[in-house]
Amino acid sequence: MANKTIHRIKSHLVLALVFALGLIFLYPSPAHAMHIAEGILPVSWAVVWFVIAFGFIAVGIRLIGRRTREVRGLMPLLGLTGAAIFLISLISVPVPIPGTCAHPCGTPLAAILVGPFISAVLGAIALLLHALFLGHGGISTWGANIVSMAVLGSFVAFGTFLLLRRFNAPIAVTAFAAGLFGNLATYITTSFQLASALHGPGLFWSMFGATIVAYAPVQGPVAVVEGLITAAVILVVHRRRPEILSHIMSRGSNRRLRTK
Amino acid sequence: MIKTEALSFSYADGTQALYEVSLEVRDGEFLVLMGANGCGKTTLLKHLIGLLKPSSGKVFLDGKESRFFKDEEIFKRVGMVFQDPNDQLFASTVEQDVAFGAINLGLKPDEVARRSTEALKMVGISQLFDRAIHTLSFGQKRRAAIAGVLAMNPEIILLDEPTSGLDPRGVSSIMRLLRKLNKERGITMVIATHDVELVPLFCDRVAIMGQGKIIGQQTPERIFANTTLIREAELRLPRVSHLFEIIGKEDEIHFGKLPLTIGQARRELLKFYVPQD
Amino acid sequence: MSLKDKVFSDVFAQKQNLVTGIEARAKIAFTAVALLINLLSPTIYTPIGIAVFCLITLLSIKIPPGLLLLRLTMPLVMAVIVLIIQTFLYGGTPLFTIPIWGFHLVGYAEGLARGLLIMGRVIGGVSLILFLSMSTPTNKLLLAASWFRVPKIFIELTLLVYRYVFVLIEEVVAIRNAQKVRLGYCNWRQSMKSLGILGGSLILRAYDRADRIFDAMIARGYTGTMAINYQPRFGRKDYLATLGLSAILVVFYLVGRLRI
Repeated sequence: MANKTIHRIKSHLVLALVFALGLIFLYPSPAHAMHIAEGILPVSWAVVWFVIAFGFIAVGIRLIGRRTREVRGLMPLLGLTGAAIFLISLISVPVPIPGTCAHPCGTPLAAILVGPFISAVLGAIALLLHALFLGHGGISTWGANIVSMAVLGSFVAFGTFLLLRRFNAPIAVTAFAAGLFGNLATYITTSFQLASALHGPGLFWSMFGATIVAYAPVQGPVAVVEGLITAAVILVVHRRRPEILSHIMSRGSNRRLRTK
Repeated sequence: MIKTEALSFSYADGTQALYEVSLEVRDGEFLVLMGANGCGKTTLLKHLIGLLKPSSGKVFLDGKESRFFKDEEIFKRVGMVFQDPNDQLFASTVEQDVAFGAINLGLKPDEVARRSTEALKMVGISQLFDRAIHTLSFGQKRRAAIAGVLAMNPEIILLDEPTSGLDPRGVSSIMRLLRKLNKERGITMVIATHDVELVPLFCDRVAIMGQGKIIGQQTPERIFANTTLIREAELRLPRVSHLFEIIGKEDEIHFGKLPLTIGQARRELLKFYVPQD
Repeated sequence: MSLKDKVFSDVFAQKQNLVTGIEARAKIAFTAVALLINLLSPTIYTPIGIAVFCLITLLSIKIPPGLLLLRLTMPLVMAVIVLIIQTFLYGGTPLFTIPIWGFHLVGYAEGLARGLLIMGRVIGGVSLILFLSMSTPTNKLLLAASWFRVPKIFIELTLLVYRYVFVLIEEVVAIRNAQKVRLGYCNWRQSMKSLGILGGSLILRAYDRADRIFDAMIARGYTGTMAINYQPRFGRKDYLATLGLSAILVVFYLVGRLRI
């Protein structure tokens, strides 16, 4: 029995490696490769992710409602930011692997600009538009994709940003790390979602590992690209209009906190 | 009637945009605010509708100071068409956007529908009512933006560069539309522009702005007669007037008065025409 | 393919025909229930039936087949990945073996069957989403969603994002062309730099435009929320269409229960 399990785990790893090689050569472009397509998750898992996702979205929406009363121009601002982030997520970024290109998630950037809860709402909108018009992702898998890209992408990026600001790391490094880890969080969560829904009896971990390994050669560079784009955009914004970032800079930096 | 008294304004970054501007717009008037880019035209318009509050000086609406009005009361009576129709058309279909202001007035749904239909008819794009905004041409967008303001039944409409970005035919058809609204509905029009060619054709009075000040206000004929003032404001004469000016200077042929339009020029020229035998 | 062509193929939804004429709420409900039937189907017949129905309907209202294929590609890539993983990692009845690096990869019958079923669900599900989004204008779709008690703020924000994606995309194209003609994309380093500036400028322009839009909004009496009024006119024609769609749903359900 134990022997058989070991054999299967080994075969998973071999498969994953073969797969990883195949993906590098065969994948048309890892465009939104990590959006889970419609139909892949069974109903039970779809519902679980929906419940989690809607919890965060509900908080985000309530936050927007409350803030609109103080800042009356918030809705157009968020609408425009959402549109900009959506477009940034559609831009094909060349990856150093010849012939391939990647698309950033955009949620790490959004989280730095408008905070993680509202960024999750904007991410959910982007995912809905992706699903409806571009065939990336899906409706029954919307919840799962919200959790991986909009929620974890935002929160991990935001947390990373705040943490590194506390150590007074340069803003470029901070933003790069936020993008990188935000994207990696999305990728790992998606692998988890796929593995937990699709594994055979008793083989969750090896399935999880296989999915991660299989996607790693494509998703690794994508995460780096996400970090670079996030850093570049934040640098431009910081240089030209620092007041846009003032809310997060004052919150993150130790020095600022002390002077207050 | 809307007027400003010694209105000055500085932006938060310290740049002063308006210096003691005093301007009066009479009811039913078609006034053109003319000046080069960055002279403060848009800033002035935003004060007239109360989007900006003066740093010093006063704005009056019908003799009562604007700051004693609630914002909504001003918006009900004064409408503004912004320079880029994309900024103004934020709903996703024409119908929804035109209805936006009327709904905010608290009108009943059938009254909103009636006004929207009427406004679209006035600007001549009734057939486009259920189109998505992003499928419209630029000229259609501008008309939809005007309809959105018309649906609120304002007494005064302020337009910021209403002809920018339009082709020649679009320019004259928009201007004719504005003239018609002014004549038939008695809506007071205040237009900010630097297009010197159309001004004399359509307006009653011109106010010239230069570097945040009003440097002259007159009928078009009188204002363009003062060529130094026009050039001081970094504007120019209409082409046809320029031609007559040059003929006067270089060839010393002097005409009675400086023509501003093709029609006036024709009349002046015919006075000089001596039939052969 | 330019960025503009990639975004939103709902131009087809703006046209007038039998399918676009069906009330948006009826179509939303139909799609939602059909997605559920698709996911719960024990056999592959239901997904196939759904896909055939949707694709034929879309072709009959003159949607270009190339576009449908393009929209199906991304989900299919993921479906194939899932199919392969399932075949090798799920089940216990060996179907075939592939020797690789002195190792034997065993494909299992149960895995293959499950993989095919999931693949079918992907095709069926994506066809359904395309059916909805290519035959219903986005604004109608979102306004109809308000009837299903979707939070107003979410709908308002999505409408704004949708509207301004089309405005900002012009700016993206303009900035990118300006960069291109000055060799902004001649190598990878330069491309990343250019993309960073592109993204940054886009965010700044979005913020500026949000200010201008807010001015235009309050000049027309904006008080913090937009009135979303969806007047449901559900006529006899709509009831008939709903009845027809319900019948189709029953057929979808029964087809899945066939034992052939």
